[in-house]
Amino acid sequence: MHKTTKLVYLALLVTFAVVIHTIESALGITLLVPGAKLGLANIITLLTILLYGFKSGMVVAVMRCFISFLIVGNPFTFSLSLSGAVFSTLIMGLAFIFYKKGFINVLTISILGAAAHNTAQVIVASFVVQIPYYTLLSFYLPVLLLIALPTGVFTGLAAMYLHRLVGKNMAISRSMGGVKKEFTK
Amino acid sequence: MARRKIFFEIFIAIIILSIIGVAVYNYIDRDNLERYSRTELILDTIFEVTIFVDEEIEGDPLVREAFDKVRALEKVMSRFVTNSDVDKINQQAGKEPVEVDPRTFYVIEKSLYFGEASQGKFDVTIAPLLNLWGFGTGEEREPPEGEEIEEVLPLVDYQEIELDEENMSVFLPREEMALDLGGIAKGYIVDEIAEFLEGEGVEHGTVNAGGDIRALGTRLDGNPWRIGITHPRDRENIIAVIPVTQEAIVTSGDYERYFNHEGERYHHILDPDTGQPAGEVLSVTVVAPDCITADSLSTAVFVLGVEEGMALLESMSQVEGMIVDLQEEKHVTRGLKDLIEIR
Amino acid sequence: MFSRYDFLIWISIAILALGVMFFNQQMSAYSGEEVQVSVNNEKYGVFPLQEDNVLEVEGVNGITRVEISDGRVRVTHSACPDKICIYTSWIHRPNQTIVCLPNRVVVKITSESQQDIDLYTN
Repeated sequence: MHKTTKLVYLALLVTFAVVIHTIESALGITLLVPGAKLGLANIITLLTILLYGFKSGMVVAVMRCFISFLIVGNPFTFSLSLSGAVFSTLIMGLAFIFYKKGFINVLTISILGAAAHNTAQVIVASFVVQIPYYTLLSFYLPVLLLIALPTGVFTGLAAMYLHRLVGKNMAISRSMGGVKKEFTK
Repeated sequence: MARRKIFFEIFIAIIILSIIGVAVYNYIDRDNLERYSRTELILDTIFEVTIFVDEEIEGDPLVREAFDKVRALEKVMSRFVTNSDVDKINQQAGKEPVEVDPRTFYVIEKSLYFGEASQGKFDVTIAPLLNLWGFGTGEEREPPEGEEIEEVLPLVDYQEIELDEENMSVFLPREEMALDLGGIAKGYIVDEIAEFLEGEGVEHGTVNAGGDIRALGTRLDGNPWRIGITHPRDRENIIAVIPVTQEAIVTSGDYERYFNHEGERYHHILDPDTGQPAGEVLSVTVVAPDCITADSLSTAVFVLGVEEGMALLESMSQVEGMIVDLQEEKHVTRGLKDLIEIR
Repeated sequence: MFSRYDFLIWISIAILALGVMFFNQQMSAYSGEEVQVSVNNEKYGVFPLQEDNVLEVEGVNGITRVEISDGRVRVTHSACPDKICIYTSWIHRPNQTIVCLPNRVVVKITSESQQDIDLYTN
């Protein structure tokens, strides 16, 4: 029972992520420098990690990238988004451990995820478009790291409120199994 | 209490975020514009075009095209290029009218206008006098004798140029007369290039022909372009800074082309009435909406001297300027006083 | 909600990024100045302004000797009749140029960073 419900919800989350991802790339919002994005799809990844843990988060992130690739069909964007998604999910999963121990909050997970996302994207982009690595490290990376702070806070807030909201849903909280003490706070 | 604490934390977070936002904003240029620049020795000077364009405009071909236009205009207007319009007019002087390019016609028309405005001190028929002095050839030589100058002087009179608008033709009535558009053509070419670039959608840039400058728009940071006026005697330093936006600025000085002979210095800006180098000022800077005006007026004011020169600058609308006299005193027009930074 | 670890992470990311930015700007402000030499519209070479040097530039008529010393540049000798390039004397600001028209040699100080003065009119 739990497993099936969880699977359904994960599928739903992937769908949301794909839609948000597609809309964001269609809008083409770039913040100040090429490569800097709001990273709205990270909201869903983070939400998944909060709900079902790191493994599910990784599944959603990777699935999201593959399905978006089928829709958008640009291998360059695909390699960028996949590397960003995988790396940021890894970091967020790591941060999630400290979150559970109560050291850090959701916003910080999100910021770390955004920073990891941007870093990975810049590095992969430099392989593809041949930016000299000096420009990359010195110019783009600090800017993208700084931008990760506000965008991370934004996606983190969104994930936090979504988490509170859907956590009240009985079906979801049941599908989560163990981790639900969060909402009682 | 808990709620108040959360508000406080959010408040702190917002402040940190806005500081970061401002830092990022300042670090990155406002627009993501690419700089393209090219320098060539052309028109007997150093010609430089710098433009800032976004990715939609390809900068390199645009700058190259601009230089192609400069070369094309040089072929028409230089008197040292065989078969240019000016060369043909000079060859056919006293014989028959020469049909010319409408652009050449326009420049000659303009030069007559500035001749009138400066009471004949700006004169494009000065070529025989320039030949006598030997400027433009670059060689050192003795200054000509007074008698020689007296012989040539009657040939210098812009009022004798016959323009025929219907046939677009120009005629110099006497055989020894000759045109030299050196004091005005450079300004015109700078204007042409600037307007070409504007037409292609360039919003920020500069066109600089050896100090004959026309600025497109502003700097990238939105401030005016800052133009340094080189000190006429202490060449390593600048005498003033003038901020310009979408304007032309030209300086004429006695140090651009000259030769020394027995301790005397002879420079290339000649007074068409005396045939001698004009000697009342060290340098003249003119700011005007277009470069053709700035170029011809700077020469005219240099010959006119401080008083009449200032009067001419003040009398023309949208024209400002600065004259540095022999005592290195700076005379600045009223409209420029608040803008100029004297160093 | 916010623990000290949160602030630590936020601030360390910000400091890291701002530090690299600051370092960059300092670097570009100091080491960006170069002397660009071209002959007959062809690039001849680029030399650091802060390194003393004497260049023997082969122009169309002969040698133009360019001296770089103490962050300044001048032409000390040139195969041209008018010697205007030599009378131009020292230049030291970015965007300043020395031109030898007859020998087709151009010496220019360039810099990556925004300068106080964009262009010079003589």
